[in-house]
Parts: sequence; structure tokens; C-alpha cells
Amino acid sequence: MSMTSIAVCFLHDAPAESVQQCLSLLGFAGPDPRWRWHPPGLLTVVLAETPTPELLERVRRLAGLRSVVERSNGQGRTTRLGVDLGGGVIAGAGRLCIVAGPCSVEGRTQIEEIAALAAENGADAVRGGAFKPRSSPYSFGGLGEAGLELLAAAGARCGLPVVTEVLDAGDLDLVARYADVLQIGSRNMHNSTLLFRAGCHARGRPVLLKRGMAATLEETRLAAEYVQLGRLCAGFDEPRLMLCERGVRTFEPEVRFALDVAAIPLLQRTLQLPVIADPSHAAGQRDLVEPLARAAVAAGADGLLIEVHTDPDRAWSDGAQTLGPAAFGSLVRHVRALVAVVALLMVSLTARAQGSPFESSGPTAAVSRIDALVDERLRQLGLEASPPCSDGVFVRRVHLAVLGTLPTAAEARAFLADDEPDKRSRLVDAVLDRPEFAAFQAMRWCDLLRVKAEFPINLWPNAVQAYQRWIEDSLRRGMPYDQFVRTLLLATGSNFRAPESNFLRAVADRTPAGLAKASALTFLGARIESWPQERRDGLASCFAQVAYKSTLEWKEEIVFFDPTRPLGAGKSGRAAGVVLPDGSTQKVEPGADPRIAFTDWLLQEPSHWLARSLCNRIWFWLFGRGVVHEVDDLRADNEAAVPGLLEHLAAELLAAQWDQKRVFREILLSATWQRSPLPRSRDAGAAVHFAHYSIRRLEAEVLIDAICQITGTSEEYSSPIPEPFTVIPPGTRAIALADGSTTSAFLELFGRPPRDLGLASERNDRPTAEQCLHLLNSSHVRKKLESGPAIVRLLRSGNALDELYLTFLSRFPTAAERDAIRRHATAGNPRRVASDVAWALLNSAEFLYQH
Amino acid sequence: MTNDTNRVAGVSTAGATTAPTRRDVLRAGAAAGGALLLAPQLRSLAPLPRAKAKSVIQIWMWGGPSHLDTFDPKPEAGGDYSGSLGAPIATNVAGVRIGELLPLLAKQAHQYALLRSVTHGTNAHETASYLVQTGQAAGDGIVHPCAGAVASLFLGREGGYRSLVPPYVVLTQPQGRFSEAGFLGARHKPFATGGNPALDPFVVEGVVAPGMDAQRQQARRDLLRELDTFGKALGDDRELEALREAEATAYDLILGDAGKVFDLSQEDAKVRDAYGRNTFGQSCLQARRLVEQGVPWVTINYQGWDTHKEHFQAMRRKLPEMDRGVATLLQDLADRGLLASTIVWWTGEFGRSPKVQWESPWNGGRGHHGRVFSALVAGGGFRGGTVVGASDRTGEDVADRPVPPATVLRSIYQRLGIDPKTRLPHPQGHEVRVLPDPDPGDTTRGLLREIL
Repeated sequence: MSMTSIAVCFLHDAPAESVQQCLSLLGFAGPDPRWRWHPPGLLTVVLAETPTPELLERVRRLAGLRSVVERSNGQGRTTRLGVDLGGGVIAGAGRLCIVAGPCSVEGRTQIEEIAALAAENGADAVRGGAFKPRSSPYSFGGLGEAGLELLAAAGARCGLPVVTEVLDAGDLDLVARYADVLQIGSRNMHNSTLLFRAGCHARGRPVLLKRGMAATLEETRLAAEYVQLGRLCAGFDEPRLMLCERGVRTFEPEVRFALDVAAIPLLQRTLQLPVIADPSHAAGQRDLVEPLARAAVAAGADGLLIEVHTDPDRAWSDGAQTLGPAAFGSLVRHVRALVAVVALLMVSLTARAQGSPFESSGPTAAVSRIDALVDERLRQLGLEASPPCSDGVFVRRVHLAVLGTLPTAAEARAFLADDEPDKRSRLVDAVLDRPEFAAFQAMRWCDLLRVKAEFPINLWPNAVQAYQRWIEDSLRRGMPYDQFVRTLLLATGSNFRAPESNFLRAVADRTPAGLAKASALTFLGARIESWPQERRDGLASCFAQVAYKSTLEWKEEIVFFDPTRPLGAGKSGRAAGVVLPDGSTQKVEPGADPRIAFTDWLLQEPSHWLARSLCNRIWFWLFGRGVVHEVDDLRADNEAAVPGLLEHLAAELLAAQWDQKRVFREILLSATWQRSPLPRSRDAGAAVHFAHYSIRRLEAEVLIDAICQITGTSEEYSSPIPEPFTVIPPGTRAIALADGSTTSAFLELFGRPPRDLGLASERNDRPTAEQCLHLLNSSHVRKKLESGPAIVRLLRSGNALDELYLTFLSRFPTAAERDAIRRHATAGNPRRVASDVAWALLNSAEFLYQH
Repeated sequence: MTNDTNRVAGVSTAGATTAPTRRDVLRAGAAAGGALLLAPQLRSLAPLPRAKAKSVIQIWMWGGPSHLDTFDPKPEAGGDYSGSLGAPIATNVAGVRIGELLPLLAKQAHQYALLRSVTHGTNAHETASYLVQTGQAAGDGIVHPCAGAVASLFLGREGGYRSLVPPYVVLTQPQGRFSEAGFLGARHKPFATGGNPALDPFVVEGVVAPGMDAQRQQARRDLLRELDTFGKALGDDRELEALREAEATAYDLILGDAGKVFDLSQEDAKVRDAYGRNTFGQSCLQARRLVEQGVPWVTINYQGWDTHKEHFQAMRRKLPEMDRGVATLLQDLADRGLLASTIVWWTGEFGRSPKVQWESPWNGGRGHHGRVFSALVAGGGFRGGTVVGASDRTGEDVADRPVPPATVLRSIYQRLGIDPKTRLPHPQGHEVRVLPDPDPGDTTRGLLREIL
């Protein structure tokens, strides 16, 4: 059974019937222990089951209703809220907030001197008691309103907000008139009337709630809930509430209380509110105050409450734990230094000092035959090569280029922290073994092979699923490329049961000429249009006996070899044979499938055209540009940027028995691929000859997957064709989508290829204004950034800035970036800062571009 | 600007030399009490007027609206055909009657021409949508661009269009079933607004972000610039230059005046009421605001017309909304002097089967019907108060003057000054023209000469 607590806030002038209606909607006929009315306008209810959204909606529509909330506990909040104490002093926004002052206000001179002392030493607010809760009725109980007046005046003189305790709900108007912050002390933490009334007091003063000396954390949270509900009831949207850990009672007599350091992160995490530590009350003795203060700061306290007095030995109350001017001054200096050291420590443990976040000063020497060839070309052209990229760039680049997947913050952090010299080659081997390699390569192959259910390819959904799975599976199992090519070219059978047969269906033009054109483009990287007529006809005649027939099954189609069809127009029977792409003629025996003649030639011809074409594609996938450009325009008069390079890679591929991964590996380990993205030469030839790594926008699928991964959200994909509707489970990644006609406005907008022709140029990575509008400002991306569970968790984490940078950019922020963010923080509302930074990183060129 | 479109048919400055003849014919037709049928040959020898239309509002009746229940009623065919809508109403043009649920459009008949014999014979949504909007038969191995993308090519940025608002806008969702831009590519895809113009504010995706004021937008933009460590390190890179330009344009729309075109709250409440406070009505209003700013092509993707089941209930629900939106749009465009330069093109991918399917599970439904269906064109120099072609007694086949989709498109292109023989930029250099040549035997040369 899941019990749920909800609170319904009514406007002050809400009609009484509304409350009645609300109760009856929630299933209550009359008085019941499960509901409770808190004047002036709050109804709290405990329900046996979580109410349905429809029910909540009906409640929300009642007249005079302000809001309905479930028990808050900071849930749903994206980041720890800063609380404005007044006068621009904000607790919980990064700067340690020190509140200092005497236990009680004793007189004008006393409080003015202490306030000045606090201000001189860099305190952020002044405290002082005017209404004192004392354990003994014989102890001094405070000056009352006179004390409040003195405190407020002293605070005003030195420009600091003042914090003072309110003991009784009846004094709220009075205290709120003078105080900037209402303190509710330990002894009153259980006074629910006071808590609620302080929350809904019309002046909306922030509340500093001290944990009861024997209260559990849950009791403390419930007390906080009273204040928060009070504020909601009064219509204050922001929960201006701070918690204070001041020590709990234990069996130990040597300290007054035991400062519960664990409470600081625990309360911060669950309530997402600032937590202040009060070492003075915990210590009960002067010399323990600073050690405890340091412990609290190291644990992440957002502020300190310190009792200080110009003459502590004569203080009217709590003198034993009150610091004098010198001790206070050194405490402030020490804890402020400690905050800086802790921050620095966190950075230096994780981030390694680097000159540029994009380059490293490592060796630039050629490491392989690839580099020797490229460097020789650069030398001929007089182009300077860029140095190696940084580790941060490398870890990101290798993940994106090979897996189509952004490295996680943990992956980036681990790689950056790795000190071993072979870490790059270990990472290359690791990524090539990951399942995303096959998934992402399958996406690239599906682009080439035009895997698409709809117009104009019309494979139909069942066949698309079978075909894409076959392709991915072949890649996962490491099917040698020659076998892959042979299987596709010679396929026969049902589009559902022999998935490879879809190769011959996935063309808009299913004539022999159309099949020849698609086959040449796919495997030779060549455009048949530029060939002599004789060779075009020759290749077409290799496909002249491919035939199709339907079956009784809905949308099933059989691809079969039909020897009765003529080999081609104008051909004088079979004896003439077929003309192959290199101009040679091959005889085809009667009854033999002419596709075999082409396939055998393809796999054996001495120029390794097939292997060169694949290597050019792999190079293109990894660099964004082929050695021959465009990647699918291989012909004698289209020169390679680096002579000999494709021949070298093709020889490697053959030596590896057509194992594609060996080519990937060799390229990924080359110095050429690992170059910095920053050019050394503005010469246009530098990019063309791989003197630096050329940047390009992330592919549409990779980009949306990265955004989803960072935010912990998923996209909804659907296919419009019924019979059967394709089920695309939630959480499916865009790179894993089988069907090029899957509906997605995002993928369309960002240039997903239509898969109509199989040309590399069908993919469009050019930025447009509409894309910028979408990323900068659309509700789609905004919703992910503002409420995606992973980013919400990230923003709540202790070191959100480092995590953000590691998550988005796979590196730590630079000092300049930290400064810029700090400046942005002081200019605006602090609770927006983290989400603004996340937004800016998502829109940065560094994130949007493969580099 | 001469605004002849407020007046009843036949009085067109554009065709002044032949107008009397046609007027005589019209009168004759009206006197006979039948539908106004214009002979296509009538003006075939006369030179066609020069382009005068600047914009098109395409009202895309997604799913295929019934021609019998809208612009081609057949009460004489009996209840098995007209269903519960057997009482068409007269319009303000003598002899022209339309569906009984379109009383406001009945008062605007002088503004529009009805095409009652559009035909392509295809009953599949995708192929029919493609045919109607590209004018090309499917299956030639080329994915042709639809008319909006063609307009974006000729009248958009390359054609001198300077506004920051994209030249081809769809309200509110893209059609999705085929790639609108075809081989013209992403540059000529429509900008889909998203959001709902009937809500305040109209949240145009990317342009309007509720709760994000200009100050915060500016602060964020400054932060983005400050944190652009990579861009600064890279310097004046060409790739990034393109991103920066796109981003600057985006910000001009977000923060500048151009985006205000989507702020429907600037309109008088009475105007908004007149259009109908629903998504379609406000889309019509939004479309008018866009053409007012010079946007060459606006598509209103009006969904919900694929009424296989309980068709008549759906018509009673939807047609009044459609009637109000389109009629108000025509009147408003005319009042503002925009109708002369704005073509309003109302069409679905096909019509619906004239014979009502009374049996279960349809319970009074209508299927797809591509053999003959109706479309409406108005403004931009098309002669209003006219009817082109006719379907047969039951609305199942063309009786007179078949109009293939290419003829409608060629006529629209002609009004826009787009020569259908122009070669389109194909990425592989294929020779593709805006439209194929009309059948050599076609005396109209593939144009709606009757109403041009």
C-alpha cells in the first residue's frame, strides 16, 4: 500500500463549499483523522493511494484554489535553491554564508560594536537574540522589542541583514517588522503552529529553522514541511527556508551537543535547501568552535552560525561558547581558506592542468604508414600539421566517430585520470568491441543501402526490420566484407525470410539499369552515369535476370533468378557474355546467373576497387571527408588527396581477410586521426589533406541521442504505416532505428538522409536558423533540459560544474570558464545559473560539432 | 492595386478583352439554372495575364474531404449518396450551390473558383498526397519537391525574399508522409510552427518560449558567447561561421520584431472571433498575418478529414469550423487588398466515395475517392464566382473537363510567375523540370484557362 500526503492550498477568500467539495472529491464524508484543516487556508490529506491525475485535475479546478502539492521534500526541484537573506546576501549559492553575533542583544553599544566586528571580518549577516528561550526560568530572557530595535539599527549601520529568533506565534508581527530572517530555535522545532504561521506570515521573511536537539532528520524535514506549506498557503512560490544543524544530544558529557556532520549533506540532498551549521551551540566551549566549523565546511555546509562578542567572558548568556574578536577573525580567515582549498582539491584531483583544452603537447611523430603517406603529402604542399588533440578531445572523438555515442562523464573522467601511456590504444580496442559499434555502423550501412519502408523505396516495415537486423548482425559477428558483398549481390528469396534479398528490392528503380546503378554506387563508390554506355549496359545485363513475385502473404515478395529473361536489349543471346566495369568481357553459360560473373570479378579484380571503395568510406566516416572526395565518386580522373593511401589501406584489408575493424583500428591509432581540430594553416588545402581534424556537425541521430543520454530522456518514434504498425519501444536510440521513414521532426530538421538514393550527400549536416531556434529555444529541448531526470540529478550533485562539463564536453572547465560562470551567477538568480550553464553547453559549438 | 475580386464573376480587369464574351456565357449558364461550366477552349488563344500573385495559402485537407458534402453536392442522387446532408444551399453566385454546412462560404462564392473535376485515380494517401502536391506520378525514381518547396526555391531567399520568417511555413505540423522538399533538400523543407494558435501565447517552436523574458534570453546569449571556448580557439572557421549566421538569424526571430508576426494577441479580439477561436480558424488568421509579411507559401495542415466511420457526425462537427475559417480568410484578405496577390488553394489528396457505407463497421462512412474530387482556388488573379468542370450524376466520375493535379499546379505557378519548364537543381544533375509538359493534345496547354 502506498500512502500519499497531499496539501491543498486555498485562497483566503475561498468559498467554504470549495473545501467541502474538495473533501468529498477525495472521498471524505465528514470529520476523519486522515484530513486536517490548517487555518487560514490549508488542507492536508493522507490518501491510501496516489490520486489519479484526473482526480487532481478536478481538485485543481475548484473555486478559490491556490495550489495542490504532494509532500515536497525538495522533490522535483532541479538544483539546490539559494535563499536571499535580504540585501542581496544569498545562502546556498556557492559562497559560505557566515552569520555572526552575540547570543543576546544586551544594549546599543554592545550590539553595534559586535555588528561592526562581524562586518569587518567579512560576515554576511548579524544575529542576536531579543526573545531568548532559556532552559532555566531564572536565566536572562532577552530585551524583547527594545532588543529587536537595537539589533535592526546595528545591522542597518553596517549594511548587514539581521537574524533573530521568534519564540511565539503571537510575536510574529513584531519580530518580522525588525528581522530580515526569522530564526526558529531548537526548542521550538516541534511547535507546529509557530512553524506554519512563520511560513505564511505576510512579510514573507525567510526562515532559519534549527534542528531540535533530539530530533531525527525526518522530524526535521517534517518541521520544514510545516514552514513550506505555510509559505505555499500564503502564495509565496519560493521556499525561502534554511535548515541549521546545531548538534544533537548524546551520552557524551564533554561536548554540549554532538555536531551531526552527516546531517549536512543528507538534508541538502533531500530538501535541496541551504544547510547552515552552528558549531557554537554544538561545542559549548570556545576552543572547539573552530575545529567543528572546519568540519562542517569540509562536509559542504552552506553557512555558519557563530556566536561572537567583544567581551565574551562578560556575555549575559552562552559566554562559554562565544568567540572573542581575535578568535572570530581567525576562524573566518581559516574557514574561507578551507573553502578555497577544498574546491581546489576537488579540481586538482580530477582535472589535470592543461594549456589548451583541445591540444596536448605530446609527440607529433608519425606512428604508422598512414602518417608517413599523409606527412609526405603535407611536406610537398608546405602545410604544417597540427599537434595531437588533448585526451578530452580524443575520448569524445573516438566515441562519437566509432559508436555514434557521447562518452558519459564517468567514462571521460576515467580516461582523463588514466596515466598509462597506452591508454589511447586500449580505448580504441575497447570501443571497437562495444555493441554500439555494430549499431552505429548498421545505421551508416542502412543509409547506403536505402533501408526505408516508405516511398520511394517501399521496402515495407516487416522487411525493413528483418534487413536492418541482418545488417547489424553481420557487423556484430564481424562477417568478412567479401562475404557480406557476395551475400547481398547474389541474394534470392523472401523479403521477410531471407533479409539480404532486400538489397535488390531497395531501389526506387527496379530495372536492371537501376540495380546496376545502385550496386556500383554501394560497392564501387562509383556513379555509373559517368561510365561509357557499353559498361553501363554490361552491368545492367548482370541484373537482367533478377525477378520479383508476390506471395499470398501480405506484402511478402520473392526475389528470384529468372533465366528466361533476356540479358539485355540488343544482345545477341548469351554467347556475347557481359561487359564488366573495367571493360573486360565475361562469358555467361546458359542457365548461369550473370550476377555471379560480376561478383567474382568484383572480389578478384587486381585494382582492389571494392576494397579501396570500402576504405575510402571508412576514412570518410572517421574524418568527415574521403581520401577521394566525394566519397562515392571514385573514378580515374578524381584524384586522391593523398596518393597511395587507399591502396595501402586496401592491402591491409585484404591481408586481414576483409576484416573491416582492422582498418578502423589502424586509422584510429594513426597520428593523423588524432590531430588537434585547431588548424595551423588557413590554407584551404590543410583540411583537404588532413593537416588537422576537420570539424563537422553531429549527425542528427547522434545529436538527439546525446541530448537524450545527458538528460535521461527518450524520444517517441513512430512509423505511420499500418499493417502492421512498427512498435518502437520507448528508449530506442535514434542510431538504432531501422527504418529511414520513421517519423521524427527532429531528425528531419537536422538533416537525416532520406535514404532515397544511397548517396553520402543525402545526409545534410549544414546548420540552419531553424535548427538553432530548436536547440536554443524550443519546448522540446527545453523540457529535456529542465526536467530530464539525469540532468536534474546532475545539477543537484555537489560538484555540478565539473560534472556538467564532463557530461557535455568530456573535459573539465577551464579557469576562464569558471570565472565567466561566476560572473553570470552574481548577475542573475543563482538557482537558474546551473540550468543556464547546461543550456549554454548544449548550444555550444564544442558540443554540436564533432571535433 | 486593382481589386476586382470583391465583385462577382466575370468582371476581371485581367481579361478585359474577352470578358464580355465570358459574361454572356455566364449569364447563359445562370439563366439555364445549371452549374456554371466554362468552356476551356474559350480563351486558349488569348495571351495569359502576367504574374500577379505573391503568396499562396494552401489549406491542406489532410485525409481527403468529401466532395459531395462540401463543394459538389448531389442531392438528386438520393440518400445513399448525400446521406444526411441532402439539402445544399444556394450561394451568392447564381446557379452555384454548395453543401448546407457551408453558409458563410456560400456568401463568398464570388471570390473563389470551384474545380469539380480534379482527378488522378489514386486512392492511397501517400501517393495521392504526392501527386496532388508535386504534379508528378510516383515511381520515376526521383522524389520531386512539392509545390511549397518549389515556391520556397523560386520565391524564397534565392528569389529575393528578405524576411527572417522562413519562406515556407506549415501550420502547425508537417505532413510527414512524404518528404516535402524532395531532392531540393533540407533548405526547402517547411518550417513547422508546432504549438496551437488558438492558445495564448501561440508557442511557435523555437520562436516563443513561455516564461523566458527578453532579459533572460539576452543573459543566456551572453553566457553562451562567453563560454564559447572552442569557437574562440578555432577563430574564423568557415563551418562555425555558418553556425553563427544561423544563430544570429534565430536570435533575430526570438528577440527581434520579426517573430511578432506570430503574436496573435496583436489582433483585434473581434477579428479573432470572426475566424473562430479554434486551431483551424486561428491558423487561417495566422496565415493571413504571414502573407501580409510577404511569406510566399503557407500551408495549413488541417487534419481529421479521413472519415471512414461516422462520417456525417464528423462533418457536422468540422465543416462549420472550416466554413468560418475559410470564409473569414477570403473576406479579410479581400478587405485588406491582399486577395489579388494571394492565392488560396483548398484541396485534399482526394475526395471521398460518393456512395455512403451504411454498414458496420463504417456506420455511415465514406472511403477514399481519387477518380473525381473538388478543389477551390481563390485570389491571385483566379477568377472568382466560377465553376470548372463537373462530376457525373453521383459524383463518382468526371463528366466534363478532367483536371489533373498538374494543371492546378501549373496554373498556380503561372500566377506566381514560376515557369514550369524551368530546370530544378538536382543533386546528381538529373534533368528535372518544375512540371512535365502537358499532353500535346491538351488545348488548354495544361492550364485552368477558364479562370485565369
